[in-house]
Order: sequence, then C-alpha cells, then structure tokens
Amino acid sequence: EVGEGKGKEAKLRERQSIRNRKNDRDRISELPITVLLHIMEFMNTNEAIKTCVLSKHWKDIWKSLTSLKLDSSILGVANFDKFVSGVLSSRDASISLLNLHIVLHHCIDFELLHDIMEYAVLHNVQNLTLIIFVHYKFHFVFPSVIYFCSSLTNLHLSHPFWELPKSLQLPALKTLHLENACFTSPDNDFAEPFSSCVSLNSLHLIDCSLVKHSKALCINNSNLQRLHLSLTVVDTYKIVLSTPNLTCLAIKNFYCEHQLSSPCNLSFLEVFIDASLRFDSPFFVILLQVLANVKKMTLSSRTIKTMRRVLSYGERVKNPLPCLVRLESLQVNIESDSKISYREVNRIVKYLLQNSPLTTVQMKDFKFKKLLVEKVNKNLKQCSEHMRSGVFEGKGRPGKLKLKRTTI
Amino acid sequence: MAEETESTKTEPLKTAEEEFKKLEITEEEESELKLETSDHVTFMVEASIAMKFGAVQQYLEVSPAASASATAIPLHNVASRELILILEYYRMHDWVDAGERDLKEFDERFLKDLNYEELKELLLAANYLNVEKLFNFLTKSIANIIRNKDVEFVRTFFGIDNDYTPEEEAAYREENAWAGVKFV
Repeated sequence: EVGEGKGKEAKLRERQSIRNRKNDRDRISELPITVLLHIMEFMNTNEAIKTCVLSKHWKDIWKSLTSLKLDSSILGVANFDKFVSGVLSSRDASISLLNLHIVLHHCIDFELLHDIMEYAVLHNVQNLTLIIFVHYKFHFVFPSVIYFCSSLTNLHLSHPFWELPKSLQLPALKTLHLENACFTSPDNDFAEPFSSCVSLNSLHLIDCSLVKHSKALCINNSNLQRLHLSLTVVDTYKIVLSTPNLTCLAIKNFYCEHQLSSPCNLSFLEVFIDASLRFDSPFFVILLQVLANVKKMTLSSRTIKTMRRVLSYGERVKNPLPCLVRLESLQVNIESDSKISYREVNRIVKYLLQNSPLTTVQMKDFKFKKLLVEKVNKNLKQCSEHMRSGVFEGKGRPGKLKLKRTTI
Repeated sequence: MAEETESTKTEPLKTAEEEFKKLEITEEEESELKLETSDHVTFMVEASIAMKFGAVQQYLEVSPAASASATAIPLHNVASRELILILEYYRMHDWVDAGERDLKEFDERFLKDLNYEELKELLLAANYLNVEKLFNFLTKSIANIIRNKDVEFVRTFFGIDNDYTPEEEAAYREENAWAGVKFV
C-alpha cells in the first residue's frame, strides 16, 4: 500500500523533525494569510475579530474576511448594533463581502438592517442568510434592496411573518429558501414571484402562505429543477407548477390539503413524500396523479400509512391510487417511531408497482438499521413476500474490493 | 449501502447456490500514479485519488507524459508522514460503502490521533496539494480548537510572538472596544 523504504525514512524524518522544530515553528507561524482567513471564516465574526490582538501581523487580517457571521444571541442584544456598525466601517471596503449570515433574536433598528443589506448588495454578496426570530410590531418586509441584487446566488430569508414582494428581480439566484413568507399578488390574481429568477434551480418553501383573495401561487420558472414544499401550519391554497424542467420534488409533513396541479407534462426523476392525511383526502390522489411519470420515488412510512387508509376505504374514495407506469426505483423509509409492519408495507408497495416496469425496491428501516433490497421484475410476475436482507450500514475498512450483487 | 445492480437477465432464479455464484467479488484494475514526497519516498497511488490533488492535476497539465511514464511526480512541500495521512483520509472518504456515520467516526478518530503540530503540518500539506475536502475539514477543526480560547492559547497554537508593547496593546484594545474584544 505504501511505498518503499517507509520505515527507515520515517524514522529519519522524525529525527529531523525534532532537530528542526524551531524551523517548523517559524514555518507554521507563516501560514499563508489565505489559510488563516479560511480558518477564521468558520468562526463567528466576533471570534474572528479577536485575532487582531495576537500580534501586529494579525492586526488587519480579519479585515479581508469575505464571510461574516453575526448572531445576536452570541454577541448580546445590547452590543449588536454597535458591533455590526463597527465591522462594516472597519473592514476593507475594497474586498467583496461574498457570504453574509445574520441571525437576530431581537428587533434590530430597521434603518441599520437596511444599511447592512445595502452594504452587502454593494459588495457583491452571493450567499445571504437572514433569520429573524422575533416579531416586529409593524407589518414586516425585508429591505427591498435584497430583491434587486444581481450578484445573489443563494438567499435564505426567515421571519415569523412577512410579505414577499410580487416579483423578485434576482437574475443570478440559484437557491432560494423562504420561511413563513406570505406571497402577494397584483389585483387578486395569481401570485407569481419567481418568474424573473432566470437561474433559479432549487426552491424551498417552508410554511409559506398566500395572501387572501389571490387565486393561486403559480411557480412559474422554466429553469427550476428542485422544489421542496413543507407547508404544514398554513391555510390551504392552490399551487400551480409551471415548471417544465422540474425533476425533483420533496414534500414533507403536508397536513394541509393544498391543491397541487400542473399544466406541464412533468416527468419527475425523483420524488420524496413524507405526508400524513385523512384517509378521504383527495389531495393524495391528485398528488400521485401529478407524479404519474415519476421514475424514482421515496416514501416515508407515514405516507405508506396514509395510502393504506386510502386503500382500506377504497370504495368510499372516488379516485383509486394511480398506477406509476414509469417507476424504476422505490424507496420506503421506515422511521424509528413507526409501527407499521413489513407485511403492510409490502402490500402497498405491491399495489403501487402493479403497472410499473422493472423496479428496484429499497426499504430503509431506521428502527432496526436494516436495508432491505428487492428487484422486482414485472415480466416474470414475481413479487416475493419476503424481501432479501442486506446490511444497512457498511462496516469494515476501505479498500479496492467492490461487491457486486446480481439478482433477478 | 450502495448496492450495485447490474443489467438484468430474464432467466428465472434457480437455486440459492447459483445466486451465490452471481455475487462477484471483483478486484478492479486501477491505474496508479507515482508520487514522490519531499523526503524522497515514492508512493504508488490510485489515479482516482491522486487526481483529487490539485497539485497533481496541475503537474499533469504541464507535463502530461508523467501519468504514463515511470517518472514520479514530485511533491516538494509534502513529507511522507503527511502523505500517508492524506491518503488514509481520502481512501476512507472515497470508499463507496462508507456510511455517513462511518465517516463521522473516522473523522473524529483521525483528528484525535493528531497533535497540534501534526495538525498544522497536515494543513500546510493540504494547502500545498490543493485538496479541498481535507483542507476544509482541517481549517474547520482548527477553528473549533481555537474558538473561545484565551489569547495566550491562540498565540501558542499558531506559534506567534507578541510584538505589541503592553502600551500598544492596551491602546489597540481601547480603539477596538466596539468589537467587545475581551481577553483573559
């Protein structure tokens, strides 16, 4: 594994290293500034700034940081405003501020928040996270300068309740993460905030709501590939997916019955569903019909339970579960608190795969840390009751050996 | 975890024995690159791993012949001691069957086995080799080590001689009071 002459050389090297300890020390203290900055970027900004008193060499290093992490719970509410103003006026203004991460546990002066955002936008911010835990008394909106930033590629905004403007003008944005936002629309029409984000690839909506009297939330974006919806504690609304290139959809804890529809012929590659609903909920069936072309699907045991209910009350439910004719891979995650038996899971899986082509089925049992794998070949009309057991987590040492398992 | 499935044959399954035969264990032939460390030790390294090293990539761009020939690629600022560790790290992280928890356990153990000097040596080597994943892991780990430590600890850690006079230091701290720079 290791080259020739290792033992001897290593011993020699050790001896040399003792002799050269003084030299090594000098070498280490001359760690390139880029490396020191890289270490400092993993720290909260207040910790990084402390390095200025180490020596004269370190005095100004922090001023070149391109990432700032500001957390009012660490800084203390009383010091926060003074600290942030100090950082922005002291740092090297000729250097871009690429990453800005702010977590606020208090109501910061809105003027200051605006100044910080303006500074970030003027300094080519690419990744911006702004999480505010407290409720402002007034009707809250984030400083509008954020929504016209041409350098932003990742944006994460969170506040207990806030309004998103009608349209976002963020041409470079790739990832957008919104929590508790309320979508607004012009003249009680469709809310369509994402259509100008031409580079948007990934969209996460967590407990976002739709303004009253608006017809629907229209996610209209031809570039969008990944959509994550977790809309649990908000009122039901319509969601229209005008997203021809959407390939991955994740739905989590969907207690509400939002109506999902799409004018596009969506052919998903991957879908993750973790949802719990009433047995007679039409949402589920609609959802699965939207997903009729899915190739790779992951379901949680919660979802399987909901399906079982739909199946048990089959006659009372207008639409049966759809057939997934293009499904190639199905994974079922059995959570550690789940009480569903493999037999029941098998029954649902069999039902779902009635019209599917060759499909790989994987069950990940988080309770017993087991992975069950089965490859079902529908041509043979063979679907065994007992799934073959495999090992859930690989143990042992890494090496060149690769185990290839071929089953029918 | 990552179970590889091959394209299927449509023959029905006969016996368990037959199925067992299909469990192929293959020793894959992989091309290797010869690397030479600063203390003149040569290593034969899987190309898939060596090509993750920015310094190796750069070398091969300049002299592409080295990938096929028997000449070793020199790594001027990496000693054998560091290269062994770097290879250990990458072999583990490259291993297809390594689960998330395995990697976490490995990383913890890897870090525990290093003293501060070795850690910094390794960081310099990773910086020179331009190996992103390990570099990020090490810088993050160092950030965790010096976090919330007093100024003397950090000076010792980095081997810094304080060249401020007490008066200068006091004045500087005063000037930066806004930053809440408090040290023990």
